[in-house]
Amino acid sequence: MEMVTATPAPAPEAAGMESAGSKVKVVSKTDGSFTLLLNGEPYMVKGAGGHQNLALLAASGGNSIRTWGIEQLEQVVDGKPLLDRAHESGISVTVGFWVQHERHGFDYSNSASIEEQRARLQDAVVKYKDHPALLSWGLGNEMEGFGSGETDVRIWKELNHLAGIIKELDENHPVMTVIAGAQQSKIDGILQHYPNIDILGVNQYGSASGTGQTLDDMGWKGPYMLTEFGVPGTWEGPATSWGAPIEPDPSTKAAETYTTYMMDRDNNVGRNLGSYVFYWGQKQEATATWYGMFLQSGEKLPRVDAMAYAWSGKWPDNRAPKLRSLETPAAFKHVKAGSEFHAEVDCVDREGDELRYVWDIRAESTDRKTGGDAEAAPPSFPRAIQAGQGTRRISFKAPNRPGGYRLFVTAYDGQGGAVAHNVPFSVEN
Amino acid sequence: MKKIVSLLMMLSLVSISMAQEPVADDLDYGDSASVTLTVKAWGALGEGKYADAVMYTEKCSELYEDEARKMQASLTAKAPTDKVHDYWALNDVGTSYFIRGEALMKLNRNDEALAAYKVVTDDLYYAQAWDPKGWFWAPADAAKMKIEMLKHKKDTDF
Repeated sequence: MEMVTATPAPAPEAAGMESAGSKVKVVSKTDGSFTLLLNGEPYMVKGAGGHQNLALLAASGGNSIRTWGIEQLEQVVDGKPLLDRAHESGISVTVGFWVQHERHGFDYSNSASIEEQRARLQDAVVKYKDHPALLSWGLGNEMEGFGSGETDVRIWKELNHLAGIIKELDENHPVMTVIAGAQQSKIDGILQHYPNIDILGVNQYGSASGTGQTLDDMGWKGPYMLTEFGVPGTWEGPATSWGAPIEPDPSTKAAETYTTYMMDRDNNVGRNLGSYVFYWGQKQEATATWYGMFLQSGEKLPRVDAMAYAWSGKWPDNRAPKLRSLETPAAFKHVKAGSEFHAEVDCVDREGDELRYVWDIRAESTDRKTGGDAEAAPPSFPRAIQAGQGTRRISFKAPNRPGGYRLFVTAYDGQGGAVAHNVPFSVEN
Repeated sequence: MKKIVSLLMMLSLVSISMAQEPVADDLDYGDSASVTLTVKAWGALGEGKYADAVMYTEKCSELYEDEARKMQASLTAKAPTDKVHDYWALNDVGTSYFIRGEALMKLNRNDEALAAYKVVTDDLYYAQAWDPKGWFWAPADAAKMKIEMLKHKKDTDF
C-alpha cells in the first residue's frame, strides 16, 4: 500500500515530540443533541474497527480507529507503536479495554478476578491517557452477552465501577461501552446501574441503519456511536439446507455498508457521534471474506471504496474490481463426490487493469464461534481445481469426502485492489 | 398455525431436496400454513431458487394478507415480546414480503423488489421476526435499509 500523508487530526503535535494529550468532551445541547469536541473542535467519528492499513484509512477520508484490547496498542504498525502511527496519520483511537466475558469463564462473583481486572485497567489508563491519539476509552465489548434476556446486574455495576476508575485518573476522555445490539433489557440495565457511561456503543448489523431511533424508542437519550456495522451478520441472512450461510455478493455488501453508514449518519435524532465500520482488516468468521474489508495478503475489497465514497464523497483513483457474476451448476446444491463441474466469473476493472484470478475450494467452516471469537480457517483442496486456474473459467471436481464446501474466487487488479466471492455446495456419496 | 416465523426455525427446518429442483408451478406448499410458506420461501432463497421463493411468498399473501392487515390495524405499536405470537399472520406475511424483496432483487427485478419492501415499511410495519441471537427484529427496519440501498444502487456504481 502506498503511504499517504494525511490531513492531521486537530491534535497538532507530531508523534514523538513533547505533546499534550488530547482533550475530548461530549457536549450536550439544549435541543437534546450531542457533539463530540476534540481539542475544542467538533469531531464526527468516521471510523473503522481494526488497526492496520491506517494510511489508506486516512486517504479514504476516515479519521478514527477502534481497538478491542489494550494489547493491540503494543503492536508495531509500519515501524511504530500503534498510537504513534495513528497520530502521525491523523487518526484518533478509541482505545478498547477488554472487559472479561462470563461466556469465557469470568466469574463476576470472584473478587480476586475483579480486582485483577480493575488493576489492569488502572495501569492502562495511567499508561495511555496522555497520548494525543486517544479519543475515548472503549470500556468493554459485548461483555453483557447476547440475546434479550436479563444481563447479570453485576456486570453493569462493575462497568460503572471501572468507568469510575477511568474518570478518577483521566478527566479528558469520555468512556464508551459497547453492547451487542440494541435490546430493551440492556438499555434498562445501563440506565439503572451504569450512570458513569458517557457514550453508548452499539454493534449492530442487519438493522443498524435505524439504531438511533431504536435507542430513542428504548429510552436511551444519551449520545451513541455505531461501533460495528457493515454487512448483515452470518446468522441474519439465508442459509443452505445444510446450514451454510450465504455470503452476499461483493457489490451488495458494498452498497449495504454504504447505505447503513449514510442512514445512521443522517437519521439519528441528533445523538450520533459517529461510527466504526467493521472490519478494517481480514478475519475468518464463517468465511475469510464475510466481514473483512481486506484480504489476508493486504488487498482492499470493494467495501473499502464504498466507505471512502461515504466519508469523502469521492471514489478513490484506483477502485477494487467489480464482480458481476459467479456461476457454477454446483452452487447451493448437493453434488456427488468426484463429480465434475465448471465455474465462471465475470469481473470488470474500471481502470482497465488486467485481472488475475485465483480459485480455491475449501471445506465449510466447522470452527464456528460466537461473538467474533477467533475461528480457524478450514482446509483448502487445491487439487480439486482441474483446469483454468488463473483464468476466469475453471473446471473442478467435487472433493471425495462428504460435507459442505465453498468455491471461492478472487480477482486481483495488481494495484492493491481485489474482489472475492464464494458459493457453497455440499458433497454426498 | 399460531406460530411466529423464526429465522432459527427457518434455518433448522428447511430440508428441501436439492437434487430435485421443483418446477415453479409444481411447488409443494405443505400444509399451507403461513409459517410453512414463509419457512419454504426462506429455504428457497437459501437454495438460490429465487422464483420459487417469490411464489411461496405470493401464496402466503394470497391466504393470509387480509388477516395480517387486520392485525396490523389493531396495533398502535409493536406487540410486546410476550404477545408477539398472537400476531402470527402479520409476522409471517410481513416477513414474506421482505423475503420477496430479497428474491426479486436477486432476480434483478428491482422495481418489484422495491414495491415488496414498501409493503413492509408502509403497510405491515409492526411485523416482527425472530433473530436466532435471541431477540425479535423488525422486517420494516431491514426493508427501509433495502429501499435506500436500491436507490443508491440505481445511482451509484458499487
